[in-house]
Amino acid sequence: MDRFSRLEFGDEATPPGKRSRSEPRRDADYYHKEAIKYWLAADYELALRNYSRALEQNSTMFEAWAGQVLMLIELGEYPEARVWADKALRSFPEHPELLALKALACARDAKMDQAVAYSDNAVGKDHLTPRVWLVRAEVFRDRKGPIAEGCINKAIACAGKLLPVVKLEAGRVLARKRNYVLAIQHLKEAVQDLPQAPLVWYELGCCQARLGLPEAVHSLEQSHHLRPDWDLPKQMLRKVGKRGFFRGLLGLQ
Amino acid sequence: MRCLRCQFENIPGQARCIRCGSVLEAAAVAVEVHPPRMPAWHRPWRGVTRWLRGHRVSISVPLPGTVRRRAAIASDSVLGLLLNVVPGLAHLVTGRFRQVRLYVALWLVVLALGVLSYGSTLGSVLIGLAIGIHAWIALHDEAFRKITDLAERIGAVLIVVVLLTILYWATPRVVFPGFAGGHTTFAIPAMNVHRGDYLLVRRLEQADTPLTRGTLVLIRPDTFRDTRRVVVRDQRSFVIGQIVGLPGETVRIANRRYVVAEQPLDPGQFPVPQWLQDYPLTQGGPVPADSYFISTEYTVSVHGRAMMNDAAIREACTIRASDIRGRAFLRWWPWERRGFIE
Repeated sequence: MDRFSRLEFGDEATPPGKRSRSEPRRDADYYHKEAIKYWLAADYELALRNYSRALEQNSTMFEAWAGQVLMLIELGEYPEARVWADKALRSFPEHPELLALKALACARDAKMDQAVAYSDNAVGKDHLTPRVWLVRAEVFRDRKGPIAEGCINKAIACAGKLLPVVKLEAGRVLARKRNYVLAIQHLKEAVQDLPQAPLVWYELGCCQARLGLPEAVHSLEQSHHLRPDWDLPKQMLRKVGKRGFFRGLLGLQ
Repeated sequence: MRCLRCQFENIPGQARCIRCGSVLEAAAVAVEVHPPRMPAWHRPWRGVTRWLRGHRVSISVPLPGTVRRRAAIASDSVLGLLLNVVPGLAHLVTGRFRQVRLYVALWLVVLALGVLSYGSTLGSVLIGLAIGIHAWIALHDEAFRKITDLAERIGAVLIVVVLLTILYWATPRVVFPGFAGGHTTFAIPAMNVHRGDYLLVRRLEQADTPLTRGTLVLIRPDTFRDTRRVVVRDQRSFVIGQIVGLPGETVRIANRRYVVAEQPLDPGQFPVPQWLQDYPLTQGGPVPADSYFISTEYTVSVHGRAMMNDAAIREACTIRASDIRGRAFLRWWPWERRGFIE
């Protein structure tokens, strides 16, 4: 027995050989699933960390590379997301989803010309993923006409088993487009499949609050209940509770 | 060796997939898997730059026929610059006003504040800023798209800033030819005028317009003359002065008061400037028919062996009616004393 064998190192305390049957094997897939779980809980830092762990196990795992870029975008680190997408593109050249994520980073960073160029490039490739169409919907969300809605329909059409996540993302894009009615439709469908995801409840609650619907309180409370340490639902609940000067003056609500 | 992405069976030993180019042996190679992170202090700065970019850039929307034809004309750099004499006009013509609407709003606000505080250092800074914003609006679109070299861009900015400065200097003189302005060099308590105040001046319609005692007038420095090669008045700045003596009257100073036609004047209403308190005008003389005795803080220097005597002082303070450019009517700056001069 060596002198460090009795020290506790958290998760690593149990040697791989003595792992109990109920404990899952901590491989790349495990960390990938954990990352998605944290992403749906809007804990993007932990999701990013889990994607990195997944890549430590298997550096050819495309989903983890794409997930890292997406989490960087969610965290608002757009230049870093572009750098990381470029790095991933070295391993997966011309991959449409990575190009689309790069377009998303540019769009969120208000570099619309580049965003359109990357999105056009991504759409021109084969084997398009739903993310490509979702990003295109976001890039073209300010254009007149139903371009974004058309892209979202295409994303849903090719979603397959990713449909709940695609519905969530579609709802978020439509919410950014201020098309709250359609966004609520998509988010309600997403909530049915992902009832334990605080992010979905929060997005749904926000859209409902924008339309002044009373169900917003329930959705936001549900989000808060599922993840009590998340501040955004609490803040939104406080906003929904306030009447505001003009609403009070007009006797609304 | 099967590719994980496209499932193509590659020749063993290949580093990348022959079909899709994906890395095959990435697991064996040490790959950095931790992405770069943004320092926390970058966040607000990036937010500001993103906000500015977000309001400047928008996806180019196909333009309708008429607007497209106008855009073709206005897309030329020189024409675009000419149209941008009015900030945003070129963008309005080409249907791209949305790109610069915030800059135009900012320009309007800064210019309005600059005009309101004109005559002060703050006013000069704000008008300079307005010129900068105007130059940015004029240049950033078409011209900057064509000029990519940094040195050329800086040169273009400088040229446009100089041209706009001339434009801003000339515009009020052309649009409002009947008005001018100047700083006071001495205080008149009875009129609530302090040293350094900026007064607006209405130009005299005719040179022979009769003026009354106590009127504040603007004297153009380029009309100042050497007097007998003895006394030289400063010609570097605009001067606001107060009419003390009318044509034909005698003016002298006794006990730090003006005495006009042997009648002492109220020092609160007709203060004697500091330089005249040092050289009191003991002997009065009649003011010439076409001139006025105007009291102000002249910067006077004596040449050679000459002495500052009564004749030289009278000569320095006597201004011909044709050299008076206008009558002050409004205290413009500072803000708290803004009002008409009684």
